[in-house]
Amino acid sequence: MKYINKIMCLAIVLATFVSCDDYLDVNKDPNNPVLADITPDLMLAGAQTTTGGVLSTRLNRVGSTLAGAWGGNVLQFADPFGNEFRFNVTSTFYNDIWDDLYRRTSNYTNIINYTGGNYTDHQAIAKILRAFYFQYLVDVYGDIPYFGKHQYTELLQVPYDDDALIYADLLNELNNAITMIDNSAGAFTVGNEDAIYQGNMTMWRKFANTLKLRLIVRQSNVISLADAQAALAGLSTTDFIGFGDNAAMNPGYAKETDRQNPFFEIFGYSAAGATNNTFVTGTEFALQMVDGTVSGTGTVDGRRSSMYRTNNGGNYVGIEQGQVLGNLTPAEAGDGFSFLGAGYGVDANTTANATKDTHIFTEAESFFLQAEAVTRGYMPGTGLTLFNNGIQASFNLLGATGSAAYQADIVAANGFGYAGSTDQLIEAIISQKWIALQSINGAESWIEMTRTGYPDAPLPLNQPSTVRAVKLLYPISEIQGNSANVPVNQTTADTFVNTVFWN
Amino acid sequence: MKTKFNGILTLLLAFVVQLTFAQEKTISGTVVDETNMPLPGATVVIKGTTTGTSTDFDGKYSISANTGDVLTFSYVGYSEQDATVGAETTIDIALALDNSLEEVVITALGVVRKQEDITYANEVVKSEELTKAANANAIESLTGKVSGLQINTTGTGVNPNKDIILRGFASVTGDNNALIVIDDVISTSATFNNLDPNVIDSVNVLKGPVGAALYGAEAGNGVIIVTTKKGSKDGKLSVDIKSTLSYTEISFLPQRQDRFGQGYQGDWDWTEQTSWGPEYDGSTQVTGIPYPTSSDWRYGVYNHREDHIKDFFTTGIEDQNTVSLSAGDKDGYVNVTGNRVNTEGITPGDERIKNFFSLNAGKKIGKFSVKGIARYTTVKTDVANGNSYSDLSQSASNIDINSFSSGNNRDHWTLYADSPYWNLKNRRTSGNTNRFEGVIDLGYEINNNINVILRSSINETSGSSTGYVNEFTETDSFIIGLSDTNITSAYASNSNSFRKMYTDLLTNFNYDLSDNFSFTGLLGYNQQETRSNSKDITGSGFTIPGFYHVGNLELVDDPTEATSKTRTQSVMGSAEFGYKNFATLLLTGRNDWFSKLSKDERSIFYPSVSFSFVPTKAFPSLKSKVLNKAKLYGGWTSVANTSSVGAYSINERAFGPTGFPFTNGTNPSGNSFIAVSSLTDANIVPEVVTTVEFGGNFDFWKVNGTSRLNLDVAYSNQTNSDQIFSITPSSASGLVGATVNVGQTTTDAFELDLSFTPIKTDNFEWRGRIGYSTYETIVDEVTDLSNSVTIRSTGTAGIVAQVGEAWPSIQGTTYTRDDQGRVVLDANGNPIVSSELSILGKVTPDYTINFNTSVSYKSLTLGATLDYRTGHSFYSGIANNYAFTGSSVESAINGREAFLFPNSTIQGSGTTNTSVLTAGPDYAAYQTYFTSNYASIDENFVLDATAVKLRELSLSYDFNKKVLDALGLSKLSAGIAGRNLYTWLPKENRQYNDPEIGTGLSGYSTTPPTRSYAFSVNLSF
Repeated sequence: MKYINKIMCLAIVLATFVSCDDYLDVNKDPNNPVLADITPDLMLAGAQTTTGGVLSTRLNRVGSTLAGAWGGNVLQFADPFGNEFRFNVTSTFYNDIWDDLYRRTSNYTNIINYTGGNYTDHQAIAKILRAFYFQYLVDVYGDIPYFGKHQYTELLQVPYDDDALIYADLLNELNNAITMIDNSAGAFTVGNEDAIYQGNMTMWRKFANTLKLRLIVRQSNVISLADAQAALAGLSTTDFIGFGDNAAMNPGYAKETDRQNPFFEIFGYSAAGATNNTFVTGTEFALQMVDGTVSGTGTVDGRRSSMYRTNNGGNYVGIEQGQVLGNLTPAEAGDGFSFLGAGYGVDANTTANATKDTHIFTEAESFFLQAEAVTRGYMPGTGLTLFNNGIQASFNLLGATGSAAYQADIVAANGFGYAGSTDQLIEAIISQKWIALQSINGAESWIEMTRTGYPDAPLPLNQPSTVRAVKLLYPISEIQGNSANVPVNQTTADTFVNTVFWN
Repeated sequence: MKTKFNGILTLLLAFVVQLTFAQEKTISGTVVDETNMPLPGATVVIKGTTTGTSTDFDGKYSISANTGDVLTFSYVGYSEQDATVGAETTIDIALALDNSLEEVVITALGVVRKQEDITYANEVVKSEELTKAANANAIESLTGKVSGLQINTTGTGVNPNKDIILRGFASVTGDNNALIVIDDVISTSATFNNLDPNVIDSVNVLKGPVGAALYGAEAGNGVIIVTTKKGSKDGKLSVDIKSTLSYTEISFLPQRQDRFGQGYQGDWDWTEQTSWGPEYDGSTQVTGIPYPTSSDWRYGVYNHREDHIKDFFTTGIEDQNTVSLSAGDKDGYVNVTGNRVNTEGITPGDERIKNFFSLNAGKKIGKFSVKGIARYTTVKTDVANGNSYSDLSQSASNIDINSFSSGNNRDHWTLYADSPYWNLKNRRTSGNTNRFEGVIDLGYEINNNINVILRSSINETSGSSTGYVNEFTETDSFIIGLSDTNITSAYASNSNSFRKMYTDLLTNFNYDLSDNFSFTGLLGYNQQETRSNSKDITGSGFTIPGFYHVGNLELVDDPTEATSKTRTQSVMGSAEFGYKNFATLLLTGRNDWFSKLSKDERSIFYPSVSFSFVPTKAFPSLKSKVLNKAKLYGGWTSVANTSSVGAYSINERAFGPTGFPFTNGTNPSGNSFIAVSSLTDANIVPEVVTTVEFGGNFDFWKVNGTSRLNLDVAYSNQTNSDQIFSITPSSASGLVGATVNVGQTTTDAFELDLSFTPIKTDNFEWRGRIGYSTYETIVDEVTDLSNSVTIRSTGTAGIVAQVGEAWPSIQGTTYTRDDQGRVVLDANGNPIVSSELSILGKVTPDYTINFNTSVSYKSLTLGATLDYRTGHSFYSGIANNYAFTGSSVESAINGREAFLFPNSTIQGSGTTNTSVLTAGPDYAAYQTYFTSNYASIDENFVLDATAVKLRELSLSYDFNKKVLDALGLSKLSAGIAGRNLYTWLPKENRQYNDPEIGTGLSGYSTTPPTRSYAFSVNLSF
């Protein structure tokens, strides 16, 4: 009798006992998509738009101001771009660039690490774009965390790595990406989730090569001729972004809340109805770059009317950075200054402007990079042709006419047209690139000015420094959240000293 | 020689045989009780047989038994005694009272223990104590009755929310509410809130984790064990009816200045809700918006009206009725209860109706026992939305509220807010909740030492609510020109469901290891599942007015839905060793596996060890007339607070970035999902709670079976570590926020309870209990990288966890002071607001004293509950609002003229200021000073939270036997009671807030604080 009782007890216990793991495996969030379920084709578009937005608005803004292209409308705003013009760079100055780029590029890493299917093409694109944004982080900050990045809660305090080593790895990544593209038979096809090239992998090869070119040319001050040639061996102009190959991103912008072109939203007209296009003006120097003053020819650049709008007096007038309202003459104050124009899509509140592409990598820049590489002997080619192509591409992008006339006009201007000593040729290339890229990819203009010193834009007024700010400081999130790894305690003085390895 | 020896042997043998086969004989004697009086009706039974008899009126008995038989003497309420039949034929017995029957307590997992064997701090509240003030809410009935227990109300009105906190707030980011166990199954605070207090038999409060260790991860905040009534044991059916009618009114309103009325910058202004007008002078002034047309100006006397907003509220009425049938005998019981509570709040039109039914039955059949409980509760509410109390307070004291009571939004005294009378009709929410709980408890006694229990329960709750705002369109062109007063109609509906399933399978062991050692053990398995679901639909613009339905909306927002499911599995065991009857050693262990944690961190073990020792039993010489019993106990445990980890928190989520899905253009990218930038550490674990506790219970002066003085002391030290905080990691990780285990607090708690019964005679009894409790939580660590974290805030004032300071602490802005303590003013005489936030006070009191007493004289019983707490502060949002609107006493003290700020210095001067006046030169400047400078300095509104409350006062009358017999009743009593009758607050808190409403930051709740008067009648037959 006793034994039967004991067996009965055991039976009750066993009957109600369910396998631990199965019973407890109910913790998958039913209310939100789970990262592990997001395939690369679902993640790519969001990754591209969130990182591209930083490039076209924040990096663009800091670069265009610090490179001397943008002035502020003192007639309507108190102390516009005050911190930029006084080089008041601190750990909270554009710290969102670091925070947003690092966290949004983690999506590229997620795509690259995805193992649930053959998404080789998507992963190649992710590699290329991740390298693209990390180059900017190195160029603007110097030594940064890299090899330990994007591990989420597995590594919350990421150590810093040497910028030269990072550059080398970026080149590696690009080569890997190209190999992947070449060997991606059987992979899922990339479609419109690629907001930049809609899955055209030939274009991505060109993008990767052009980015490699940019990486090499950026190192012009420190790289040996042999190394540069080796890195670019076998590449010719058809391997790079050329006419019709603009890396322009457009996921389907619309004139609706949260769907407008981000540059238009902030510097044109917001979806909520605010008018934002009277804050930024051209600088006096920028206007002089396109009205024949700096070129010395006295002929107006055909792009001027696309780049700028006339002021109240019907003229094209730029303001000096750091100028104060009290120092303007009554005439100047009355006529006002030139705001950004139709070429950048911020002149009017139209659907066409709201749905313009976001430019990630322009043809103009590609041609100017090639021109510089050829001029420096990194690869064969005809410098003048490439130079002129760059100008033509810029005219095309801005919707301006008169490219041929302009090219002819400046052809003999040393340091402005493709003429003169090697240094002057470089100056010309960089200056034209500066004109072509300001307000589109201002970060490039700024970084290239730091690298080469060209063009020779004047420093802002009413501030004590005699040199430009050449980098951003490590952000407050690093100082608070990663203090053990931040390599140096930076102060505003550090912003004037370029510590990046390619300087 | 041989034969003689043999002869003697034979004789001996014969004798022995004679003895063995002795004849039955008659044993008789007298049985007396502990006072040496004869005990009639006592039972005398021959052990192991059914042969027995009872004592007669003189306590005498007579029974036939054999030598060697064991006679067992027993009587209800007395300890059994055995006596072996020997040579004698008379056996007299004196029976002793069985004290242990009174002191049996239900502990964790339903294990029944004697109070003297309990090895941790606990306090039992019995049914009469809970129901003496006829409070319809079970949680509120506990207020002020247990030292170390604090009930915080967060919200007032007909359906308030309550927090049940033991020994303070030890966890910074987790939930500090105690675990609620009802009838041995883990339940929820909401269920306890709706439980009819009349079905509660007793509540055992386990003050700290040591007693609750068998509940493992849920034990971190202590446990409230509620046991409901079963049935009587005398075999008869009894019916109990209780009916209570309560009236509720406002208890107190904030003090107001009585010098200045409706206006702005010193001028009369009939549009304003502020009191920045000229001095009261009894003149007739335009008051309020012209109504019904823009030329119908209304006039009022420009004078102060005391407590003018009282007119809006009405007397609340609550009607409670409970009918209960119960029956039972020694093998079974049944109890059926029905209860209905109909509450009308003090806000006109607010209503709550609760219906409650419960069936509780059990039967023991041989070795099996079956128990079942079924409860069904429905709660319906219909309340005005909008903040009536807050809206009413935005009015100057010359306003006669009654004259603006038509309910039209235009019939109002100000342009800048909606009429609270309009809100009553046009902003409302109605809701209902249905709850079913069922418990089945099957037991089987394998043998005398082992029994098995299978206990399974389900709690299924579903609810829905619908809220609406009606449209208001301004038609008066005069008003349109002054202010945009249009209101868009809106709709919000929610439906939610909740289900909790709980199963225990326990095996209890009970052995006497030897004469001196006893062993009680438990081995068990537990499984729980909690599921919930919530759906919301909101929208705006009713096409057909008054038809509150989704289909009638012009614009429907995207509906939202959230579901969650968590499961736990556990095994537990306990081993209790008793030595003789004065020492107990208890070891428990529980291992939980949680679905909401990662696989690697899922299994967590919770041990505890505790002891109790009764020196007065171990060393009887210690026992004296004075010290009747002493017990010492102590214990250690490591449990968890699992509320800090949510279901699904460790998931790596993705979300759709703004703008997606893109569907326009030639190559639209469609939908996309990217990683969220804030994650919870995948290996997160629940907060760990480690506690050490010591205490003692002492009984003094036992007279006639009752100790006249009891002293209970308990001290505990608790560390809550691995608390869960959000930190800022390196963005290079891909995250801008991470939630990790990192913080720690230490809590010291001390409770002392003195129960006394100075007078106890046949006619008169006076009992009382004083409880003293103090607890303090200090923050040891917040995150690796920061010393302080703000947990919640309203503007700049907030609740902060700061290393080295008490938790919770209030922080806010202060006056800037120089090193001599002088307030720094700017060149214009305005105080400079500090740029940093400082700690302004702590939220938990230095100590709390509660006092409970009852005095009974013949059939009358008077009871009272009082408590006093002090040493803490709170931030009064009402005081801040009064300052801003010019209603506060401080804003009128000096006639609103410029003044010399005492002990001040002008910035940079270095000397005490004697000439620059503040808030001058005119009334407008004074108003600006008060509303933008004074009102922005939080230290002005952090007030002393000291309070003395007369929580309950009750008087009941039990009708005597003659009346009962005449009516055929077994019990009839009538009573009156008052709740929250008086609250004494320090002068500094000008009755702005009841500091208990809200935790640290107190604003306007739905209604002002209230008090109630109840009349009840209770009869049984």
